[in-house]
Amino acid sequence: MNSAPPGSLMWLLRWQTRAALANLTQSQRWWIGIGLLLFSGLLIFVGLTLRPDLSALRLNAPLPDAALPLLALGLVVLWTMMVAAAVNAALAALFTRGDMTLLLHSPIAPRTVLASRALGVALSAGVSVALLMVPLLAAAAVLGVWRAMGLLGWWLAAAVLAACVGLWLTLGLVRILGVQRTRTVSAVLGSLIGAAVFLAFQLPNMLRLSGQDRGADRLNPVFDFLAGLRLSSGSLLALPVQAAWSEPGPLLALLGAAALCLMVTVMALTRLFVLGAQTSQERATARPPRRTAARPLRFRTARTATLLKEWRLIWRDPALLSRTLLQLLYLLPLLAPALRGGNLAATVGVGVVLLTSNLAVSLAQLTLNAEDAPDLLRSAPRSPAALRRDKWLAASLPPLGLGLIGLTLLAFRGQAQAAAIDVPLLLLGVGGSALMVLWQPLPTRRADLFKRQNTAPFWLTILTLVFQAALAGTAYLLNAGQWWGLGTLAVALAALAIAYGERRSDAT
Amino acid sequence: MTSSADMASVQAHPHAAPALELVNLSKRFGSREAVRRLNLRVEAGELYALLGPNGAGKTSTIRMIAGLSRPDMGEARIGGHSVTTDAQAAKQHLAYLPDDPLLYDKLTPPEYLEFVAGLWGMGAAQAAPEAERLLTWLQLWPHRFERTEGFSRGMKQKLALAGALIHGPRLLLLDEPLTGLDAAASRQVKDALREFVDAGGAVVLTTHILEVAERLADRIGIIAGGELVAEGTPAELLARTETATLEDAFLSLTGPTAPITTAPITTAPPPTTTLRAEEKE
Repeated sequence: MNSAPPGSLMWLLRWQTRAALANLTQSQRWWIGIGLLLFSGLLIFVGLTLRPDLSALRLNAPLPDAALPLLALGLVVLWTMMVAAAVNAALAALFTRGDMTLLLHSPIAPRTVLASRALGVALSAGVSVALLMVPLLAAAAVLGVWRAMGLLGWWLAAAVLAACVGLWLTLGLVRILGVQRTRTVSAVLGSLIGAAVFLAFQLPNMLRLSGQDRGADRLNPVFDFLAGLRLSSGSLLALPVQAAWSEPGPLLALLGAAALCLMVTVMALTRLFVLGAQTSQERATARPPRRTAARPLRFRTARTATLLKEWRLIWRDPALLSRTLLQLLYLLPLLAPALRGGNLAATVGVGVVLLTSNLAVSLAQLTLNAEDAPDLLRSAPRSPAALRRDKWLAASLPPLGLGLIGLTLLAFRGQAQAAAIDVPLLLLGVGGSALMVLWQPLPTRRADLFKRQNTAPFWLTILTLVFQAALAGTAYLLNAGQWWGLGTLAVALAALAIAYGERRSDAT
Repeated sequence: MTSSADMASVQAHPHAAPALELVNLSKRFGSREAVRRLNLRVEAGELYALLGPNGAGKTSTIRMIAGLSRPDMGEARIGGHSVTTDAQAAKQHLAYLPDDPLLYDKLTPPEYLEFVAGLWGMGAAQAAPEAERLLTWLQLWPHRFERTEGFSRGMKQKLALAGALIHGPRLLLLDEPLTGLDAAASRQVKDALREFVDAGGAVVLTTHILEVAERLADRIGIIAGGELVAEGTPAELLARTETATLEDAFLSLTGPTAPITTAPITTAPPPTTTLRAEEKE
């Protein structure tokens, strides 16, 4: 078996890939295997069934100009997802993986190390859209659309370009902000870039639907803009689409540009990379004291101290906080049906119940599951149950406060009765959602909270969704004066009861 | 350097139950017996060092005493309270300090101590001045507005020690407390332990630094293969093994040349143990 010389770029890449594969759990490997098997079977079936019917169509004809804007948009969406993944991967590859000290004090040239890391980041970026790309490519192959194989080339180039953007962004931030702040800012940026496309599409819809209804006939401002675009086959914007459609010139140009970009990135960033890697091992800079007066310490009771501890840990971790809050962003489209009804009370009711109960779940995962000193708590005489109750309270109080503010504003808008209906639903939604997390403990380190292997069991996710959707439905129906909303309330209570029945204690 | 009120309470009952008593403590991980019928007794005002090669069962023992792991057989008693059946009362007298300090990076020292004091049910009015005193004594007061994420290892260890001492425990359990500390921090931690013991507290510590054990400990227990193979004062261990240094004594008891069976080597206080080294990990 041929092996790359030790210390070479290929050798480093092989080690990196092996380490990445080792991170997959046994069940993840099984699921990937089963998924691939089922998917291949489905493709063969679809291919054999449809191919005779499609043989008359000209599937490999040049793309019409009219199709270019929409396809370009699709590729931009995919690329944005890759950039978001690349920013996070660059952050992990440069600062959080523990092998950088070993690599940089070895005789391997820093440029080789950075090149291997850049390719690793490109791989992560590429893999982030694999769930969309692989079925697309496989379907094209089965149906005989050979020109779509150009997508492979586009995929490669796009991943490399996304890696370059990720590295420039992360290391550029190191230069401006220093390593410590860059960790936070680039984690937030990664999440924001991932949400950017979503925001671009959903926000105009939400704003229009919430009152500025001037043109319900229009689909979406983004689509409107695209419809106005005239992309000809010779324009630069059309180049990625043509590359993906296997046009040799654009494809070669795109791949060449990606390779050049990677080379320039590695050469230009080596110095910053070494500087960043060296300082990332240093201690965080001590913050200058906010107060210098020699004031005596004042402590609070055990419960207040626990609540404050939990809130401080969340508030002081902007990366974690931003990821938690961004999860709420993806819920906004669910409010659209309520908004379209034009009923302010129903809209606010649904919004308050849905957003606060989801926030409660996210915060409960932080307070109840993510504990960095579990041994401290277990060696203390304080009852684990009392401690869990405090942590549950720490997760419930902020969304409860936010919800009450929303409902108070609703009451001031002359909808006091609606607000009164929503208060118990708010309490039930927030308290119940946090309880579902409490009843199924999933202890983990705070830093590992968002890793895939730490996700809640599938049935619990479904049960939580049913509970929250049923409560949101109740808020809508009761505010619309439809008393059969009590039926959806019964569904929510049933979901909560099932979760209670399946509870397991983490007390030892 | 524990609070005078707590130490007064400790000294008021000098002949009460021992600070720590292990009775036939056993723990098995799969087919491997990590701790085997361990019997041990540590009195108030005593510093006991538990020594042993890697994988001997020291940390498993400490974790069972701290209530972090459940024994398969036997029990640990702290101040007469069983850690298994009367955990709350037992833990009330205990402080546990592992080699990796149990801290929160995003909290400042007073915020951390406020939380820890709450965990041990200390009143806020009593805890705040005690925290202030400990922070000043351990030279962390000037850093009270800084988050611990920026602390050196020594500062973290000292803060964890402050957290361990704030509620005035009767028994301090320390797993490798001096690992990675510089000379100054190490001296300060050793002084703190000595002062705690002199005030009537009991300390059980594990360490690989034999010199520390020799200079600090009143009694030393040597554990190998999950069993206590020898116990006594440093001088007694040297005399029984007919060696000149504790290192030689340790190696003669746990190394490849260790005797298979010998006469009991235990000194007062009981229980009796035998000098055995046939079970090595």
